[in-house]
Amino acid sequence: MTETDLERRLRGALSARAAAVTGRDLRDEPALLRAARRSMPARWWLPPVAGLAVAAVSITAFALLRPADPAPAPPASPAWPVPPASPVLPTSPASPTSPARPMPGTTPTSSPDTTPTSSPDTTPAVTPPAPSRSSRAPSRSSSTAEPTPSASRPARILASTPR
Amino acid sequence: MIFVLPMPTSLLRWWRGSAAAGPVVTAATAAPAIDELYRERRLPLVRLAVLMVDDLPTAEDIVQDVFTRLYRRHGTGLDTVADPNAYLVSAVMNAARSALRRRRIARAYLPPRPDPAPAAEDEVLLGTGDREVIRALSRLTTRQRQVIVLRYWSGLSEREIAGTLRITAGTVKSTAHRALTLLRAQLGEK
Repeated sequence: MTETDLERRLRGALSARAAAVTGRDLRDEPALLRAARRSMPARWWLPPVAGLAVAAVSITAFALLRPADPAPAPPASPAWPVPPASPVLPTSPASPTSPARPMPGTTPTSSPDTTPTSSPDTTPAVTPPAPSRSSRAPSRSSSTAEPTPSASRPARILASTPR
Repeated sequence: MIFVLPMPTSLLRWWRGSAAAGPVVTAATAAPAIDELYRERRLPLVRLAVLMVDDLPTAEDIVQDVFTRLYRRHGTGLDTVADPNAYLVSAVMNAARSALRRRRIARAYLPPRPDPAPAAEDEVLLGTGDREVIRALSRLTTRQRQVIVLRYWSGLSEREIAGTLRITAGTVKSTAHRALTLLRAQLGEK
């Protein structure tokens, strides 16, 4: 095989191989500039602008919706002075302050003379029990303030029943 | 508090265009340059790449990457490129060489698999002798194949091949001689 024959075969084979690739075999021709620009981050400024817009909206909403006169802070301690802890139990009839003590804060401006401690008779819901059991039975004006019945009372009833 | 926001590139481009009409006119006239080059030279370059890598999708990717790099580096106007055609041929050759190198590395690390069967059109269009020549070409080294393709298909001279491949003319001559000797040995045995 001479070199001329080899060169001719080479040229023929390369031309045939290249001619096998036609324009129809290629992919759809994309716009080169469009394809190149698509890969570039052309809108890099969009996230910062969006962040600034959100911050501006938040600040404006806060400035518009903020109350003009802020409410005074509630007092740290109740206005009514709490008396020192009494050694007497609250259910004890000897302590007149326990049954009719007003709720703190309901009458914060009332004077101390309206307290149950100064006039226990003004509170009709409280009826102190009778000091002695020999007298007449206590009036049942209020069931909530009635003291717990003692254990000797049923015994007296049983004794009076004839059998 | 003052916020200094950088002007978007599109706005900068628009402002520049409205402020000075000269560069816009130049860019507008030079804009179709790369598009025209792409339309004219895409198919020949794909054929050149096919002769190098024997794979049409890879050849198309190579040519597309070459044009994309050309656009990113030089823009739409190709005033700074002395010979765009030579630049493209050189870039395609280098990209094909890189693709072959990557393929060789991948084959070294992947389990062997059969080569893809040639398309039916290739079987019809290529005769038996042509298929033998193409098969013998694939056994050459990348540099030898580059020289043979550029010499016998592109019709470049030794000096042009040397300029394209960035090697000396003596290297082109010796590489071509070695490649022809190998081809003669392979094809002469048949």
